[in-house]
Amino acid sequence: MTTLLSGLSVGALFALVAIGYQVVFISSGIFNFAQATLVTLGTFLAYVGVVTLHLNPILTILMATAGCTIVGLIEERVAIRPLSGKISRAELVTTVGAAALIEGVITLIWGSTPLEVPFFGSTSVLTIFGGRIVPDSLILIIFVIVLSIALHVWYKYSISGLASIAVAEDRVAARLRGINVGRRSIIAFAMGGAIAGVAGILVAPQTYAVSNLGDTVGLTAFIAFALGGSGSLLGATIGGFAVGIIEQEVARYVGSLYVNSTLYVVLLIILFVMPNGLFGRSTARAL
Amino acid sequence: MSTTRGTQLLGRAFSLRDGESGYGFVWPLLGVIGLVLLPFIGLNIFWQTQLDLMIVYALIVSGVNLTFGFAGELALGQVAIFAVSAYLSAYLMTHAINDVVVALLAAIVAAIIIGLFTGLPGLRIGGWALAMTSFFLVILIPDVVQMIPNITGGTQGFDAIPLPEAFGIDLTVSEMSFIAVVIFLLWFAFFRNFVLSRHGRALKTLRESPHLTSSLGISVLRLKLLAYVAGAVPAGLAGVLFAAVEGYIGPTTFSFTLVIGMIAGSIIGGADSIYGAAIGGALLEYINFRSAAFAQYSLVVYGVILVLGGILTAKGLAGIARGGVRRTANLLPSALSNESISVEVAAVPPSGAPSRQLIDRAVGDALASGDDTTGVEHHLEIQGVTKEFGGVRALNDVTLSARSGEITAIIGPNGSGKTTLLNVIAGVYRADGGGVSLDDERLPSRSHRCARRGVARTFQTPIIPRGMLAWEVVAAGRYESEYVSVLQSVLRSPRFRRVRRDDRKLAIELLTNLGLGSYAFSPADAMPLPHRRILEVARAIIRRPVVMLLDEPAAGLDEGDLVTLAEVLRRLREEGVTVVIVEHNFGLVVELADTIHVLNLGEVVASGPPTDIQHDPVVASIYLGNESSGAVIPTGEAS
Repeated sequence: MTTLLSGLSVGALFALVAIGYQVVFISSGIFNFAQATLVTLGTFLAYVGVVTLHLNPILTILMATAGCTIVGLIEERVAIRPLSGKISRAELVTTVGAAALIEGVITLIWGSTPLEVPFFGSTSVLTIFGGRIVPDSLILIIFVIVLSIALHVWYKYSISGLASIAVAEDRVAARLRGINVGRRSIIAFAMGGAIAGVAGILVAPQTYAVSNLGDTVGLTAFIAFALGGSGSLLGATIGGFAVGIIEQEVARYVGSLYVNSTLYVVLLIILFVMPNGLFGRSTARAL
Repeated sequence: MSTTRGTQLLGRAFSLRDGESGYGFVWPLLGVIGLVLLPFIGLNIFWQTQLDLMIVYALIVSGVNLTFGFAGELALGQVAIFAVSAYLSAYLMTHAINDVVVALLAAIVAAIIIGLFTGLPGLRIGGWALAMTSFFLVILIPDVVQMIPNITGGTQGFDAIPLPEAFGIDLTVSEMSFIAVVIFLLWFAFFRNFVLSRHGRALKTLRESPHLTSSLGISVLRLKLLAYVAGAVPAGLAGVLFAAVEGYIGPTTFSFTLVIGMIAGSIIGGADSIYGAAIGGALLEYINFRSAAFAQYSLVVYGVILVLGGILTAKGLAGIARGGVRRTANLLPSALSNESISVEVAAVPPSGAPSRQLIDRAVGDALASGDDTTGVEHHLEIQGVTKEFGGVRALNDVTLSARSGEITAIIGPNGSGKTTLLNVIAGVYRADGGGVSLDDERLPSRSHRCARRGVARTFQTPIIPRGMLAWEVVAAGRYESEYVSVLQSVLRSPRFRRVRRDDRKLAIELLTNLGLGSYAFSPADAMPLPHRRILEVARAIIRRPVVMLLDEPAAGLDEGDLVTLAEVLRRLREEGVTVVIVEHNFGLVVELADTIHVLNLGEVVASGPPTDIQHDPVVASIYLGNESSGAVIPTGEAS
């Protein structure tokens, strides 16, 4: 049970990044490679708030959210908008570049040694269903579930959310219906940044603030994204938890050395057996 | 005469222009001769090592260029292959045979095997999924290294790899440098010859559009795999040199930063350039070397290069530097410049509507240039074809036929399923029900197999690859006819030379006869729309098709171009080609077609000769509204 719970808490991080991928992907058709690096930034801003400035948790969250949102917006402005909606291979390169740039700047400011970020609440271990879990992990899991349901509802029922889905379906048609496609993309990147920022304070106590956190997490979260299927927020969440559980179970019963290779095989199986994931829709009509 | 030929050859050799017409070898060759001499003219050991490492990175970057710059897939397996090969040769040199030649051969074999195994699953998927799976390979390296510590040295790595021997003779640092330069020279010669061949043209086509590529009868997966495996080889060679020169490798040598650096190196030298890889590699080593002092800046520098480079590439400005080089090259005496090349085409007539005789010759020559198949009757049958997208039924039980020596037109309002039908015939879509057969044999529902059965097509929006000259675009249609292997292309065998001459001659003649002769050596993607349409038609004709599918070929054409098009279609009919045309220009259709099929909401609502269709009340009501039954559809004043 403890392994399952720790799987869920690691999975929550993957789910969080995968949700960020989805949010940006739905509204702009772009896979934002830098999403995990934004979460890294969130953990460092949490470090600044909690350790450096001794701010209270609310102010720390606000600061981290604002910081990551701004960086997300800058990324959109600098690395995405100049491509002017031409979805080609260029954004493969520019978002990888944005990730490298953010990680590079983080390393310049804070170095590459992991920094400890204490949790603001209780640190006493809880026992649930016979398994043991720390409170910050539990809050992170609940946060991710609530977030994904809230976003799901928002996309399904609000005008703004529906407009984003319309853009995902067909950019040209959406534009003809009077939807400001450019603004959708800006909102998407801002939301992606905000999600990363809010979570920093919940993620950091477990992962520490470490500059290359995004590299492995970003790739593992992609498995969650692929498993859930592009365009599906609930899929990304379920995918994230599933990947987290696989990771912890393999680490416990086989050895941590075999985690990444197992996940690689899982990724290949997903891409071959169900390229649309669990909840994704297929796209036809290419000409 | 021979002097003209001589200056031409000279001009080509010195040219720095890309495209098959140029990319000479003289300047790079001079550079390499300099490199070869460097180790022997008193370069100290430190700089020799720097030179070797620059070569190592240049090799890897050239592999990235092949898959990313030419084939258009961000597949980064090169770093993993580099790592495997470095470990393999470190193991060989320390524990088995310390011979650089053996290590190099082993590395090439390993690179090809790993390239095939890692490439095949990823390339099927493409796009982001491929990029991510290949990134994933890189984070697997430290794990795999620690899984087999007695072979790889575990976390310690190999820290005292001896300088290798070659054929049993101990090498000095200078001699090792010399070997590195020779490998560099051999690989870049291979790379250049590979890119400047039909295979390079096919790769540029693939980068633009997999649909177009398979419509030319080329297997997309096979071509991607070819590029990926070819790109793996230099990474394998680089691994051997790295192990021998550096003397140390460990699991941290092959980091994420290295991967990012590879892409940056590729971008900065120009991802779709040949010699740019050498510049990118040199720059990488410079940054790496400086990183003793600036370690923390390297990611920032790479990030900036990727963001800026990506944007410039998308905006088509990445060629600026090369443009500058080209202009400098053009300052050379004109005899040495590359312009004289078009002399090969005798008397290019001015552009404009070509005469009827010219078009007759164009189509006739192009179609006759192989085994004689004229006189054989063909018939294309579409039987009960149904195709759904989601819940939308785009085609519902469509049955119609087309015969050789006839022009069959498919008309109908927007969204009636015309293009979908063409795509089903061409094997792009698999029909949900029914099927298509050519001469009573079922056409395969895989686009490239269908194309090999003799189906050629044009697209509603012309697909003209970037970075190719007009004649090259047309010649790309001949990839599958008289196939020339990679080995023959790279070695420039007599067969390669003959086929290259034929490709060029046929393409230029065809363009000339279609009135586009003066464009033959211009960048094709910059041509005006009507010319791009004719270019597509030429690319289809050069394939000597049995069935020719044209998707709205007249859209955007002016009066003169329409005459050319109509003449080409008539001539194709006379040559016994089965012509199927989807078109909105009713006047053109009525004038040309032998049979017209009218589609509405995915169903055939009327079929018959033009005169019947013109007076068909159902058709009139679809086009003109219900109350107008009995009216005749105006044909406008087209052609």
